Amino acid sequence: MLTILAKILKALNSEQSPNQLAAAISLAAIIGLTPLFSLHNVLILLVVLWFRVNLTIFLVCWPLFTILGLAIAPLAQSLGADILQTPQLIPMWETFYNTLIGRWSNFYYTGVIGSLMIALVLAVALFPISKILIVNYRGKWLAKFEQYKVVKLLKASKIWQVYQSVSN
Amino acid sequence: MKIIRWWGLAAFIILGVLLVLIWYLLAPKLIANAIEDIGSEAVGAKVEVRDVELNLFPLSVALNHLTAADPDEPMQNLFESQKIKFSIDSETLLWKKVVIDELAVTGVKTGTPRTSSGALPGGRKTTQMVQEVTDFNVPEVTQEDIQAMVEKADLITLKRVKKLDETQSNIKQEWDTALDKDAFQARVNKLQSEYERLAKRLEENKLNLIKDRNDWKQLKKDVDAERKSISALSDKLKQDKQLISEQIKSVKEGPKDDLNAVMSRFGLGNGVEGLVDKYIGPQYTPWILRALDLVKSFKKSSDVEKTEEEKAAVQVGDKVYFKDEKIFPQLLVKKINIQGENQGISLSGQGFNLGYLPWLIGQPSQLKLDFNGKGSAKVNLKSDWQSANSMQTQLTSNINNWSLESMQFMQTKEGSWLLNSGTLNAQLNGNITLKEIDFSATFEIASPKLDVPQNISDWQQTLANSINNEKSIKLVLTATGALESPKIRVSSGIENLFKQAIGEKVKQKAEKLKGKVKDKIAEKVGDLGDLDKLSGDFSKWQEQISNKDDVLKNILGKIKL
Repeated sequence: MLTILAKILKALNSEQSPNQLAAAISLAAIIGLTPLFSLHNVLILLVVLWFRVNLTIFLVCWPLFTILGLAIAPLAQSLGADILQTPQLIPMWETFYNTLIGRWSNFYYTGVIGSLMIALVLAVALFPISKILIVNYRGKWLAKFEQYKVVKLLKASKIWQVYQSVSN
Repeated sequence: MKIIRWWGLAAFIILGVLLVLIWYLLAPKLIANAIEDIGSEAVGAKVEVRDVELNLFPLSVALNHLTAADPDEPMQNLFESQKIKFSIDSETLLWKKVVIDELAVTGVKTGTPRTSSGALPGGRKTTQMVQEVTDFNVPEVTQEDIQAMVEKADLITLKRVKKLDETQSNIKQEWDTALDKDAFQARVNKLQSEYERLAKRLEENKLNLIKDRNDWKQLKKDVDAERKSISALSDKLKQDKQLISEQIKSVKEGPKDDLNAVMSRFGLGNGVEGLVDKYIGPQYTPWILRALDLVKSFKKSSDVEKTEEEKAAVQVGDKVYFKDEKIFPQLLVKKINIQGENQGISLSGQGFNLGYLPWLIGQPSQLKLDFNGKGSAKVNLKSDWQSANSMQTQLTSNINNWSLESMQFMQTKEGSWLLNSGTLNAQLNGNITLKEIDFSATFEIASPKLDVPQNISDWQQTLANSINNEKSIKLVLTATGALESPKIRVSSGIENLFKQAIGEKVKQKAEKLKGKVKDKIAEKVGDLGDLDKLSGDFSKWQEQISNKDDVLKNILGKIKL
């Protein structure tokens, strides 16, 4: 737990661009909120590994979003059922169902399409929000944080030693 | 700054290759587990596969030593095969469908012993139907007991009368709305005035017929639509009449059903009638019920085809079905060859177009089995699904001069009654649709010799002796009626032997009790003479429909086109 916290701090305080960190959060949201064994998650994994997305943040956020995904599963399924059964969209879904990608994407499961829609919206919203938060943290809050007594105490604690060892 | 991480791509590829390798190593185990789980659920006893061979190029699977335990005798296998081998069409697999061109089943044996029990924990529902039959006796009951029993009984007849009343009231309400005179008159008036307008214009100038051709066409279309709805009403009237007539019939049969229900509380069921059915029926009826359960499970699948069906992992949710252009069933075996030999009995068989979901196969499924050894037996099963809601299955089967060695004749609380010798001839014929079953099986056993358990009662010993002295015994098993509630009966020429065996005194006592119960039920149910409250209404509605159609026909006759 301490190591994970230290790794997050390391990533936040590192010189990696906020885009890399924000992309990690957004992509973790998609892979975490949607059922793991879905075709789109192979693509997400490829993007995460191929592009310089911060792996630490991604691996930390993934399980957190998975827990959130389980919590919102009923909502996702209800939304998915609405999306799949909207009369105007049925011809499109039928066409997609009759393609190889469509057949393997499992989009025709209410939970898959519902959670994917929620995850996409959340991912798009999370990217700029987390980017702003990271920039602000580094520019304003980091210096302020270091002045707090709690932080000073923390620096004297075991977590700081772990952080230092991770940094080195 | 570089945005590409090349080692990441390499890691992705390595991860992918590793997953494929792991899948390849685990797939045989996963296939075996899936077959064992699904098979056990279907058979109602353990289904086991020793090992599975999987080849990727070309894609083929071999199941070595598959056994399916007998749900009724768990220390015995219902079916055992040395090898089941098949290749899978890779192209259709891409569409998540399994098509097998030829499936070879070799080394088939039946009735082989097991070293461990094949029973599933909890057993299967239909197994519970094979019950031991308790001895036949007539309890001592007073008039008060009968009165209390009938009063307490939730009589089927009363329920059916209530249902009939509700149906009649609903039908009346529906017809009053459907034949709303004012609404119809308003529609006819509209059509009539439109006709008059166009006719007037035509009278003024013949050329208006060309100008108004679209209006004339529309008028014809409207009249046709109105007549079509009247024709639909006519069909509905026939259906409603049929429904009421069926319900009245069912009400009239109610007291008989109630009598059986109340009598069975005294342990007498049909009284002294149908003793063969009571004692021998439990040996045969479970198999029919299992076959019907199988058909019903297909029916259930067809009912939910277009809606939600599969419930997968928590997050995945329900499956919504879309029109599938790849018209293949989920699983299709185009041809199956079966070969086997066991204890001097050889088996050979062929099957064609077996699959799930069967209505997507497009051709009838067929299974032919030949047994030879202690006689000969042929089984021919043909099932044709024209659509998800229409199925016709035919079974024809013959058993000729089959020597019996140890066949269970019936079961009582003292143990099994076994036929130790005799020659069996049988004909089994049947038709099953998704609505009804019409099946009959005639078994004739020449020179029967029974081996009975010890400590059976006197009348049972008399019965056993009588059967042993018969030249031949004939049993007829019939299953008829609606699929949901079929009437399954076993009758026989030896019914009299049963009656003689139980004795005249017991018979009279049972008949007397039956008579008293019948009277009490009739008293509670009341008069069932005037059930049809709509007979007059149906004629009235028919007349109204005809009149309305005549009016429309008259307008249609005058339309100029």
